[in-house]
Amino acid sequence: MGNRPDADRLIRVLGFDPAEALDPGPGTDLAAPVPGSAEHTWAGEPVGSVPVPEDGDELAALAEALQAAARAQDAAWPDPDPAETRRLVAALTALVPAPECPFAAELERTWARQPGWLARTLAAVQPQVRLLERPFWLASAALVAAGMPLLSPDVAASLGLDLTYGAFLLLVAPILATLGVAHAFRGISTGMAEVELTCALTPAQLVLGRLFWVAAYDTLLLGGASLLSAALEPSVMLGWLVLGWLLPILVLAVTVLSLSLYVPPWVGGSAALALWLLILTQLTLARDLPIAAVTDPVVLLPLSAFCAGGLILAAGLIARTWPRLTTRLAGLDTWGRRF
Amino acid sequence: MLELADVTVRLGGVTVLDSVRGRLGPGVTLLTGPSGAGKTTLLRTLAGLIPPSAGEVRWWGQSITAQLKAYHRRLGYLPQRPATYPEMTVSGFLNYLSALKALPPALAARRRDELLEALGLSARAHSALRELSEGQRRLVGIAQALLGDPEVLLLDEPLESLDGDSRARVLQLCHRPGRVTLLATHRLELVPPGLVAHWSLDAGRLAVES
Repeated sequence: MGNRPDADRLIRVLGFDPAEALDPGPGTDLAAPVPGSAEHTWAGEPVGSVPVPEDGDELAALAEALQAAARAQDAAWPDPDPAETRRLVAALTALVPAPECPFAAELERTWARQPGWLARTLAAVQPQVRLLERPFWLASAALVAAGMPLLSPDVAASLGLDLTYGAFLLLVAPILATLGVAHAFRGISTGMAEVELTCALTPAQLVLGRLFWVAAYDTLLLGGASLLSAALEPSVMLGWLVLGWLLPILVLAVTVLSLSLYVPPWVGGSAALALWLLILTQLTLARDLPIAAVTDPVVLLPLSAFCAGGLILAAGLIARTWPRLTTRLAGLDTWGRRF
Repeated sequence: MLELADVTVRLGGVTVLDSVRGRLGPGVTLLTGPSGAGKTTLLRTLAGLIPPSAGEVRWWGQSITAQLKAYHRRLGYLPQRPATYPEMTVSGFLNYLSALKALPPALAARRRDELLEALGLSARAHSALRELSEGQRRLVGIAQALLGDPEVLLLDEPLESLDGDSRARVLQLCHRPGRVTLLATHRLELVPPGLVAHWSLDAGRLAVES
């Protein structure tokens, strides 16, 4: 623009610099008419294709033409409807940098702390205790307490049962473990595991957390009851008794878990319990031994061997599933319900 | 920024998602498509629940599998089924999930109360989830997804069973500067305008409509 004062006057009049505004930009089709503006030309040529005049009068005329074009364009473009405005506001809002949010900032500070392995594990395990609510605690305790009358030989005799409390504990321990694990992993079939696995814990932490609480509570209950049994029942040996329920609860817990990766937990639990009863029957009744003989090393030794084998099999099943553990734990790839 | 880099998911020999490619930026993106188009599978893949058969999901340029825990901390996810533990109370349920999300207890309690207020559920805070209507359970599900004020929000059919007022509340909560939200629905009429983008899935293929 040769005449600077005139150019400045024009800019003041227009509110923008026509030299910039008239720059057609790469790829612009100057021959294409602007919507609603038949007169959008200057000196018979499309706007933008002629050099910006230097003469003041010509510039004033150009300003008038541009204003007319702008008015015509405004008239041709209707006001945006509310939906378009909302869309524009949403798009622009999304692009606004997030303001400093105290909540997000405090979260980031918490997560930035790097606790040790033990603290991380405890942090992952501890919340899962909330999943096992009052009915679980009470039902497990009630089941263990239900056999306490057997501590009195008179009660057992009056009931016609040849059963000590120690033997009773060995029989109910697998039931406790099965029901506990099936209950703790019920989220696999209800869809909750899908949500839980998008929280801040790994599948392994989820599995170990739940197994820990079930096994720890069962051990506490059965441990206390075993001490009572060993103290009051002369035929019961504490070491064998503890071995007799500890191995089964471990093997049943792992078996129910591994089956629950393929079938709903209650189906897996029922199958594991049925298998357990079959083995127990084979080791006692099929050998003409009373069910009370379950506390006898004659039964306990082969039972322990079965348990060890079962643990290896179940662990192998979980290891085989490991690459798809998240998907299976989320209940998205179980038998009869694949995604 | 969430990116799908040629993501293919095959399930039982069937290709459910076929080389899906796209970028999800800040704002609410609508995901539509007929039943069986692969919407839920796409959301589960984005949530890290289903590993892609090919391709990868990237969050800020890096595969989510390489940073799953960090990604999950910043993710809010609502599955298609309103999943809850029916015997838990609304507060108990949200407290449980806050703990799983590793939220500091005091902050989590404040956030829980804010969300219950915003969703009109304050009066039901101590009700068992089994006592709630399906719509209220879905609102609780949305509250759990929003607990950690997530950067990435994946909602599968969040507007089902909700009345107009609740739908407006939910959509208002979805908007937050910088948040990437993908909202899947098969009922377009439930969604008001004001969304950044619209993705349409058909037979596992993605058509991106701005």
